[in-house]
Amino acid sequence: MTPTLDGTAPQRAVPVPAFAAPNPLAEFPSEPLGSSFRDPAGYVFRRGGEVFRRVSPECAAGDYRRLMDSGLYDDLIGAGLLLPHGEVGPSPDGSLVLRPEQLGFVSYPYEWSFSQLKDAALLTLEAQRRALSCGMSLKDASAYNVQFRGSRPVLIDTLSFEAYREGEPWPAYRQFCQHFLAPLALMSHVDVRLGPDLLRSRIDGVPADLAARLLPWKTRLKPHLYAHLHLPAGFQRKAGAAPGGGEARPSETGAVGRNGLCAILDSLDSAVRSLEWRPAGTVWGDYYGPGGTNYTAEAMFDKERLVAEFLAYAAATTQLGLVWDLGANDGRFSRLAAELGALTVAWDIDPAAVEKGYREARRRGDTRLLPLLQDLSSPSPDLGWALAERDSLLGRGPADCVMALALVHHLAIGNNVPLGRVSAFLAAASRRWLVVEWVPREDSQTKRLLAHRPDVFPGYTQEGFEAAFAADWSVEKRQPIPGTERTLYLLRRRRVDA
Amino acid sequence: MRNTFPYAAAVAVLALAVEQRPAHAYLDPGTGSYAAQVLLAGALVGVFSLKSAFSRLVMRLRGGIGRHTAPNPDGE
Repeated sequence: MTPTLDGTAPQRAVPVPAFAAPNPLAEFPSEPLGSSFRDPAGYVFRRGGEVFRRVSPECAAGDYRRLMDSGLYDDLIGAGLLLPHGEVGPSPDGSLVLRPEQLGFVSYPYEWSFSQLKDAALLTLEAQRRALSCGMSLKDASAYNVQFRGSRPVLIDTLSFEAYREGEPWPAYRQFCQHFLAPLALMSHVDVRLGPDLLRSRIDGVPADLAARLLPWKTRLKPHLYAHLHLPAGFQRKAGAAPGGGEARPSETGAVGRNGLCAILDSLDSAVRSLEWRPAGTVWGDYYGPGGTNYTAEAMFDKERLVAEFLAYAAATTQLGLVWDLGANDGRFSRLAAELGALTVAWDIDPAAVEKGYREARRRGDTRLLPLLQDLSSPSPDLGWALAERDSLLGRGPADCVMALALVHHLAIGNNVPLGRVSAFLAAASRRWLVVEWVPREDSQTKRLLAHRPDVFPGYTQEGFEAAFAADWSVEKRQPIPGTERTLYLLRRRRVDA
Repeated sequence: MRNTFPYAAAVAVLALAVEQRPAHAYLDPGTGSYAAQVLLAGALVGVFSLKSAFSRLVMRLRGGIGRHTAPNPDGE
């Protein structure tokens, strides 16, 4: 069954006879997005602010039709594993245009916490298992084919499914290990920061030989990790060292029966499930715990009340579709925006805080809150071929509202960014609103930042802050936070982007 | 905790077949992936089949017990 475009209950897809009705999209240019050029089966394009997928005539009549008719599509949609789509209509050349359910925000694997990457890996394996039972197979297992709807991962690439050919190994096996298993193993057994760092610098994942060199020797004693990381690394070295090295084709290596493939998937599943990481012992992961912040319980309550009040005011003035909470910690205040109906991305630099935020969002079944990793001193850049495959942080904005609670002092004092530049960056990130907290130098958190460095920040005063931000923002509301020396501002962008 | 011994035994046999030797030439990261799958499938399929059969047996037994012990909706 194909879902309706407005996301209501699925209905039986009505076959659209070729050329029966004019396809409104056929008349419009549909240049592929910068990230959509590898798969000859189709590509993704944007029109009128929405994302569509064009399916080649060959795929529309072949693998796509098999996906829809085999029951696999219904199965995956029913299990919440695949992003639903509707068929817009055929084009004169026989290609088909699909309109997938629109995602509010696109994130990348190097912005995910440990459990987000792990859940995406398990989702991919489950989709492959279900595909095999319907005579199909995933032809790629890219982590970029997974997105999060709040706390729920979902496969977005409808055209990743192809007919299963009996005896052929899984063509996406290597990619799965590079995009999921290797970074997860490194995060679990070496350092949680290695996953995001390596995935950001290596867009096609972490090769087995690199992972095998970085992993501790004890991981060779874990049969599933040995089987899928250390052993393939050995194969790579042997094949690479052989005269004329290179990949042997299935016809040269022998066949892998369906049971064998299921055994490999089962072993991969065990490998992924065996990997754990517990967030503990970092500064931010315990920020709201005892000693982490100088707020009393009453002051924290007052701050929450004020933030909620400012957000409600902004939401009543203009619709808040997308909110970014920068320096969100575990998303405690982000949830206030999500509760107003805004898709809220809770960015933080600390893997432990993001992990905690994601686990809590998953426990609650949040669909409007997405915790993600981000180092604001060096935000996600444009990446990939022609710098067009993965968008930078700002390239995926602006948000309707940005929250910057207890953030400015870290950027201005911790990272030496002049207040004017902080204001300009936040203005590039937000289309309309900024909820920002001023933390004076008398505050214990600011004192802590200044404790072991020369104070070269004479302009770090509340007057200096207001003057620097006045270039981009006008003050809509300003309230001291009771019980603290801090002030909360609601600022409105002076120049509003279209 | 999962019992990994059967997998360990299967993989250990494979390990003997692959010599761990550093190579410093450029390597296509896809190199060896198909060959690895063929060997892995051969090594793992036996354990997997036994595991699947055991799971089916357990499910069948549980289903049977469940049928016998399920409360009668009529309360009889």
